[in-house]
Amino acid sequence: MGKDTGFIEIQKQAVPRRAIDERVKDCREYDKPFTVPDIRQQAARCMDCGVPFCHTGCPLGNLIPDWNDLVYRGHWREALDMLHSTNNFPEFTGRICPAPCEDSCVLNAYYTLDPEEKLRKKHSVTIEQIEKHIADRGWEEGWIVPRPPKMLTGKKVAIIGSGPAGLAAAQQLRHAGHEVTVFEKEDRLGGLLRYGIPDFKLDKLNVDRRIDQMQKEGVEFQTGVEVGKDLPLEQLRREYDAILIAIGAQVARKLTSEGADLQGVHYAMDYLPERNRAVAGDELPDALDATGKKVAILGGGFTAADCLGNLNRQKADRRIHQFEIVNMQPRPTPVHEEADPDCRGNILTERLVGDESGNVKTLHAVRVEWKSVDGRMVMERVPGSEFSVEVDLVMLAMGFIGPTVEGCLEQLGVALSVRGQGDLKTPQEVKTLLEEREVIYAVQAGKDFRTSVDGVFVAGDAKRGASLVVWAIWEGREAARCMDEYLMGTTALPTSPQMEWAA
Amino acid sequence: MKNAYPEPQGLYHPAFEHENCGVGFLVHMRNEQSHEIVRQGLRLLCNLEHRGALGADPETGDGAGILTQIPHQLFKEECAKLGFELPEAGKYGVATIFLPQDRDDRRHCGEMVESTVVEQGLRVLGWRGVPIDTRYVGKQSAEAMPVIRQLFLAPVEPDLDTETLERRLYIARKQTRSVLSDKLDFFTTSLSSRTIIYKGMLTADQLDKFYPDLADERYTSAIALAHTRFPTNTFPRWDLAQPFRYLAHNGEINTLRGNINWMRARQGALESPLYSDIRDLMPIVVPRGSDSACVDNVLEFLVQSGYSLPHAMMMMIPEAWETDPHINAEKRAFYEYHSHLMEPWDGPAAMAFTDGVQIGAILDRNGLRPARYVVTRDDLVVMASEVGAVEIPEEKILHKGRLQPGKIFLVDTREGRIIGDDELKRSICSAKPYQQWLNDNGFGLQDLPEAQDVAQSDLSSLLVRQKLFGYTTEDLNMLLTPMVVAAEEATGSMGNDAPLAVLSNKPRLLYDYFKQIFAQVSNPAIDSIREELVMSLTLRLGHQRNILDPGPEHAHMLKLEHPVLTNAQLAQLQSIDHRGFRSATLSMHFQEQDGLQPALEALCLQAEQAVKDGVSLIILTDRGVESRKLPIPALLAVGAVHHHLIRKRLRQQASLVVETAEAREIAHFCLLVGYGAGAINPYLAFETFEQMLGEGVLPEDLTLEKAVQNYLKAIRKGMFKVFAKMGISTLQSYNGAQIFEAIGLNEDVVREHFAGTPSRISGVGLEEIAREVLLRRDAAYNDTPDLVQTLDVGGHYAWRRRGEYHQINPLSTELLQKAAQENRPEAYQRFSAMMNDQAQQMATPRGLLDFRTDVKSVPLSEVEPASEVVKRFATGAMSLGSISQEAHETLAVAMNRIGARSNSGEGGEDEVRFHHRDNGDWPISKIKQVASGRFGVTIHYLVNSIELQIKVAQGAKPGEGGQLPGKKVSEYIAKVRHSTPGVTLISPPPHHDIYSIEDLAQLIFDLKNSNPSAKINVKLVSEAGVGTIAAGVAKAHADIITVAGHDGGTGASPLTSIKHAGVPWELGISEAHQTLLLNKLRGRVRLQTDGQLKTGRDVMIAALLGAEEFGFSTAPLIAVGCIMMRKCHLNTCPVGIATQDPELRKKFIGQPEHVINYFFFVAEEVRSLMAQLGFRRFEDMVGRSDMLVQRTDVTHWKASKVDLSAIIQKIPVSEGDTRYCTQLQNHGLDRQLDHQLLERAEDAIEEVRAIRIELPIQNTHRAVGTMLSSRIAKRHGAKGLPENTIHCKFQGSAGQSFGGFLARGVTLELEGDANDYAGKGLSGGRVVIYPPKEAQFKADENIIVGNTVLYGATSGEAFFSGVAGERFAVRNSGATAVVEGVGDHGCEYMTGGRVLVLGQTGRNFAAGMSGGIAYVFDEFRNFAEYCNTSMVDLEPLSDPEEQSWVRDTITRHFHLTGSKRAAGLLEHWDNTLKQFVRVMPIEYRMVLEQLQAKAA
Repeated sequence: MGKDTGFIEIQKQAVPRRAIDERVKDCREYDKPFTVPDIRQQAARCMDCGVPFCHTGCPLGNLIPDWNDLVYRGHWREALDMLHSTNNFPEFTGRICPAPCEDSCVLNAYYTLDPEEKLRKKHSVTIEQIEKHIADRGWEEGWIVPRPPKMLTGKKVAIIGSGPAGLAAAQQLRHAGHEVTVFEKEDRLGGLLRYGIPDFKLDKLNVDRRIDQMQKEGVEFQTGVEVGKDLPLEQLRREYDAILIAIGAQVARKLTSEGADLQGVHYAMDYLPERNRAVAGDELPDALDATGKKVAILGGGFTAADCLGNLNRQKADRRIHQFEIVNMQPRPTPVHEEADPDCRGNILTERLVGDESGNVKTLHAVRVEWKSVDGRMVMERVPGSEFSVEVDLVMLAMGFIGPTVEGCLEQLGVALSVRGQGDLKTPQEVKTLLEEREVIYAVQAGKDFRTSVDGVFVAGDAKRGASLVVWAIWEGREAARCMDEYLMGTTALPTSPQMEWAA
Repeated sequence: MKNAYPEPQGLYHPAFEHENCGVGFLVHMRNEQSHEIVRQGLRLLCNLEHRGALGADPETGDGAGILTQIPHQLFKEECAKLGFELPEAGKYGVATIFLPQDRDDRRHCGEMVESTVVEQGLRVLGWRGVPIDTRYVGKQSAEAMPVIRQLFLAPVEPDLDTETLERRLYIARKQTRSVLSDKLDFFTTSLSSRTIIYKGMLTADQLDKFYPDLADERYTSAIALAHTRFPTNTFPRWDLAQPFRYLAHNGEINTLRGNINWMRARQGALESPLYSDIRDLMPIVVPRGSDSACVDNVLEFLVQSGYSLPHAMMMMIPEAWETDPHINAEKRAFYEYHSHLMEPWDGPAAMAFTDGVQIGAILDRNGLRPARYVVTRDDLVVMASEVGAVEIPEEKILHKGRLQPGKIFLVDTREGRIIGDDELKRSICSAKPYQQWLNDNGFGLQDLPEAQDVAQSDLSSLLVRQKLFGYTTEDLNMLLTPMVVAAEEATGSMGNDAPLAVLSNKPRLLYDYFKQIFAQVSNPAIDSIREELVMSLTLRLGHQRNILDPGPEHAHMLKLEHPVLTNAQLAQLQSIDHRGFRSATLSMHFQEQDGLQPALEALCLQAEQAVKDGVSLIILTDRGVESRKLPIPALLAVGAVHHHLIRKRLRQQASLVVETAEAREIAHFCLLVGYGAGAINPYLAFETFEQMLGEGVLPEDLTLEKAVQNYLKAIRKGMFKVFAKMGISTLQSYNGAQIFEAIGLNEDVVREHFAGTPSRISGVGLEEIAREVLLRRDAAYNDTPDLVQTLDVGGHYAWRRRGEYHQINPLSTELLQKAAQENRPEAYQRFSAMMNDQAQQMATPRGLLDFRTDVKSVPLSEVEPASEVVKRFATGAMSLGSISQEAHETLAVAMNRIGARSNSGEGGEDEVRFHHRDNGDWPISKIKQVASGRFGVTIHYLVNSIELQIKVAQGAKPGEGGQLPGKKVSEYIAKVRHSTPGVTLISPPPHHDIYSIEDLAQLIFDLKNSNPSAKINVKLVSEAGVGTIAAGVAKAHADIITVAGHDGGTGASPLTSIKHAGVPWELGISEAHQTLLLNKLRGRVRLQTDGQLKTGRDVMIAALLGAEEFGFSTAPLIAVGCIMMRKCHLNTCPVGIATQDPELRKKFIGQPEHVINYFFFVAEEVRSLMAQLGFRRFEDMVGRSDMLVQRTDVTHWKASKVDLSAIIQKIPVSEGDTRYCTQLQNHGLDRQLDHQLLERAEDAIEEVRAIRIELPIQNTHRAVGTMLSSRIAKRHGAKGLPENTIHCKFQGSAGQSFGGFLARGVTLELEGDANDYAGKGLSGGRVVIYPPKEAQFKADENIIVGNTVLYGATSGEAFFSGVAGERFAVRNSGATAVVEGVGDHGCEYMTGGRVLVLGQTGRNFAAGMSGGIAYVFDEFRNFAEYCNTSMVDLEPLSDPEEQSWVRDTITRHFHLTGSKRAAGLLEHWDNTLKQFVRVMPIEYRMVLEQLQAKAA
């Protein structure tokens, strides 16, 4: 399989990207495809390990060595089939996944001895690009077609939320022959794929054509329906044999510092959907205009980076500050190359000061250090390290604490788990708790994806907390399998069980 | 006579018993009877004593005996004293009978015998109590001693001819056996008017003391056939001492199970006018006999029924006639014809046989046993396993020779002469018009009309069918692709860490429940690649007729060149109608609701009916499957029909052909053939190729036809390899031979459908087997689109998340590395919990075991410290070459730091490592391995060890040699191994000096001489019967026996071997421990085990089952960075372990501390478990299997059926024995001739001063010069002494291994001759052998040294004025040798050195020769026919420098030996020169040229 000595002879090739000054002028994808010969060369670097760590690294368990080999030998169609056997949406993960597979690729984790190089995945196989290439090729060639089930079971399933978890589950359940309806509260389908991830990372064409495929397979989609508000849960439970909660974890962590309510302080999850809508051509008269503004982004994750890319494209002041509180540099992504951001970790925002009109003006911050006390990491301010920056705009991208409790969860009354607390809580209890202080919580479910309510399942961020799209797809697939088994007694849907990872 | 092996108990089963031995005869050609012959016969036996063995009781021999003509004078006088008169010689028969010790039983037997013989027209003349002297019998032996009587019988008609009398006696004996079939302690050793046997559980020198008759001067005979036995067991069986009625056998029949089954099947068709009722003779093969006894049964039957003795032998043990071009047409026709009557009884065999008139010997086709003979001027012929066993003055000797492979040597006392092989066979072969019969009746596929209805591919349903039959992507990519593209079977590396089929959660094919059995110790594997000329896949299908009435119609059978049929060929068979030769096609299908049982029953009945209807070919097919019409596993169907027809005695009338979608890999074909199928059509594999070609996943220029051809070729090679593993050469013998062990099938399934297959772990039945089919069916007909497009990933060969479970997976690897590299106990605990927590994943039998909880624990502090426990640990044999220098030395340093041992593997060792490093670390491998390749095995290597391990087998590929791909043979590796850089190194499958247990004893002896302080370890692999082998090895004086599991690792091995051969160590170690206890041998040896040992729990279980030492390989490799890439064979290991690439080696991060951390974690876990079970000292728990219980909480649908009670059964310890090793082996070195040499040479060695010693020598002086060399190597290192410092001159016949491992500076000069293994491992010394001055025979026509001479020689010189036996200079890597003729397989596997052959060679010269040069004097211009030119070029000797070197060397040969041959050649040098052929390895030349280019 592969080329025996490929990893020695062939160097890892960087992903081709559009020129920076060109790509920041628009919102189209910044990555360019590899040429076919190049990507096959890259696939040849796969060593076909006896113990392929990559496909434990991959939450989905993608059969990476197998399709790398097929690509190397030019068998795209077989590669696509194999890829689809673990992943419903490789064109999504091929674009936006941080590729834990490449971290765990033997060429990165074992062959590379320099820790710096490891961090940069300097030698790993370009798995993600190969994946993307396979999927795109599939679309180009017309190989990806609706595959409606041959037999129908007569069972009805409702899926709440059309994000990656909901979509993956919907497609799997449809493949198993069930009647599937997906409810989406927004006007368009796709959840975070649609209104979270910027177009320059994921062209929405990708989402549209998948949804089209699924519709043709017989999945029914209802947009603009917020279950628990527009549609009572009672009715849903009556009409469907099983329900999947896939509503994500959209409740953002709040900034508690002084001045958090000043004008010019925005949540990323208000800003990003707005930008995506704008790109989609919606008329948005009240949209935030960052042009020329001095901006600080609080948070170092992917959401923060997405904000950065958008702000840059809106021509905000080039010197954007990005502060992360924990001991890490904000995750570098291609958008960091596009600007000249001031990215720092270990920074605590102490207070925001506004001008007379209540507009944010200055951000006061301090450097912190993290120490281990009794096994817990505790933050300490570094005396004398205080500093301030001038800002017009503060973008909050500090993560998410859990799914929206109001509406769906509340009406279902499913048990929730709260981090750091042993016993399960009702939605009402969590609401009360949240009024006191910020807690992190999720819908409780075990390996069988069942909630405390019979017939109600949960998958994705709502279950595991805010995470990667690739995890959401895995959750959706596995939940679908459990639901199929619940409905039919047995299931033939594939599974890819997780292996418990070392601490 | 307590005439019994122990009952089957625990894992021991008497069916596993083996024996090897020494054999010999004397005959006076003109039938002059004398007592001297008898005396000499006994003397011969005593001189072969070292080839026999002693059990736990040193006085109890393993059996010795002598067959002679009837000593008429003695009997006449003795009977007269008893009051009865004997008729004249030849007119009466004598039976020697072993009778029960119990008086009533004995009387009953006597009465029954008398009444039975009377019915056969015989009258009883009288009984004679055979005089015995019980002072000369061992204790164990005496306990089992029968009452021994002789019965004298005469025919009712006084003038009855001898033939009829003999037949009558034969029938009478068979009759008495059957009327007394329940009396196991009744046995007639012989009943004949011509011959008589005296034998017993005696040593050779006890024989004539125990039986005073033999010492009586009146006891005369012209024939004495003697035998001493070296069985693996010591259970007293007086009846199995040899000779038997017609023969004595040194060797082993590997195909016995099949031969017995076929013989049983054949009984249905037997008819003969010679017998009033032939059923009186049934069963022909008497149950509970040894393999030799079975051969004797059949030989006797054939001879009594009209075949001549040599004719019958030729039928049973044919030459390699199929492929040998030197076989003439008439003889070929004879053998071919007889292959329609009987399959070969295949295995290593030197058989001496006699009917009292003729006496002879035959050697198997491989020549795997020694047989030397001497003919004297006074008409005496002596033939024996060794030369010199009977002393004969040289001047009396007319001729010295050896028996050659496949040849018969016969003396006819009536004609008073030797009948040569050619003459004998010519007369037998021309007796009938065999060729005509074949021409008129035989037919092949080419004679049949082309079939009209050839099954067509259906690619649209292919995927569904592939899934239904369990195809995976791995099958396509890893197994089938290399077969169709390169005609090679797939190679892999590292061990098998996936579960046994019965423990797997996945549905597995029935094939996976069977493991191949392989040869180890008691017989050799065959080298199917280098010695392909003995291999054959030819098979004949159809109706086998009455073998007692051979005629032309017997040849009316269909000849197949190999057993895999194309679709077109199968269609020909389906529509066949060739003069009444017809076929019937039966479907192998079952219905889900009915299960398998009724379907199998119906199938058997259909087959039975078809045969009764006269069908000659039954075709079983699984075509036409549907979701409700499911395939019966083909192997199950074949086994069921085969055994049903055997039971119905119809099996011989028809052959089985299987048309199946299931079979695809080599192991499948072997199993189907092994259980009775004659041919297989793997149609789905063919369709799969078609699809792969269509999809373009195969090379573009590959056509379907070529793909199929390649596939067939790969299967052919693979099958050869599998049956060669068991020492079997021909498909005909392998067919139905059932060389497998079942694991995890229940008793009913095995008894009904695979009868006779060893099965010690019970398990699933038909219900579960059906369920596995159903699970595959569910996957195949699954309509959900997700998996419809793709096959299951498998995950058997590489870990896959949704594939088969593996113990080594990403998580366990990471945990183990974290634990070892960062010294983190919590990580180790998680690792060990994961390995030990077998609640979900029971990969191994030990997963089903648990510790007893009802025992009192002891405080941990009282348990022996971890620093003691680790001393029992060793790292496995991983050669420098398979792994990098860095990894190899890291392991060695680590093990030496903690007082444990590392193992060199079979790759030699750089001398630098024998010394400590500046920092005090010692990179030496304390265990030095001696494997079949003998790479770098010099005397210096041997003395630098504390343990020497003889690798008989390796877990990953038992029965095969190691292989080191050329890309891993760097200059450094080549230097250490004495080989050529870049040239692939393949070790021979067998050690060419171990073809039997007495050979192993010899190698142990040789190694002990080379380093008397080293422990000798013999490494075996678990398989059914390994316990019996271990008992034999213990008797061969091994100090340590390693019983490895099947799952051990490898640097390169065929995937078939990794997956399908051998069984888990739990079975092996337990069987070895139990059998050693039963033999009272346990206390003599230490037991070691290895094979995927990873945790303290693993160690505990192994210890409780009987192990004292523990080998680890995979786990310590992971500790130093291995991530189970399974790329060792590609040299691309990315972590610098299993690679020689200098860049990749830089990636190695391992440190000795990592290994040490790991082993201490394991030891601490052991300690805590010891405390829990209440053991303070390690040895206290060895063999305490009563501390283990089988878990009762298992709910797994297959594993819950498993029964491990045989594994944990506790065998009581006999008096004088212990449960762990407490005694030292007595190696008998005190009697060595070398003590005398050392005494005289002591000062010379010390002072480096020349000395000359002269001594007489005889064949009991073995390994002469080795101990001397050991001393020199210790004192002076590898450089030894200056040339010829110690010159020893001997006169006589030297014993085996003369000059073994001889060090530089020593010359052994021998006037006389030598036995096998002379110059073995020659390490710089010089061996010179020439005939005695007074000899009358021509040296260059006579045998001067035996077989396997200069095996593994690394440097030095040898000059032999005479001809050598088979396998001369195999694996020579540096010695120079001159010899005047060699037998078969000369210079095989040679990698260096120079060999001059001044005469003829045998067949297959230079096979696998990759280095060195041979020069052959090709007098008759036919050398090319005898040379295997696959790796060498033959060219004239043209280089002037080389010419003069050759001339000088021959001149030296002349000076040293006085060779007349040399003189003659030198005299006509110009002519001589022209007739020399230079044998030049192709790769070697290239390397030499590169080196020259470099130098220039």
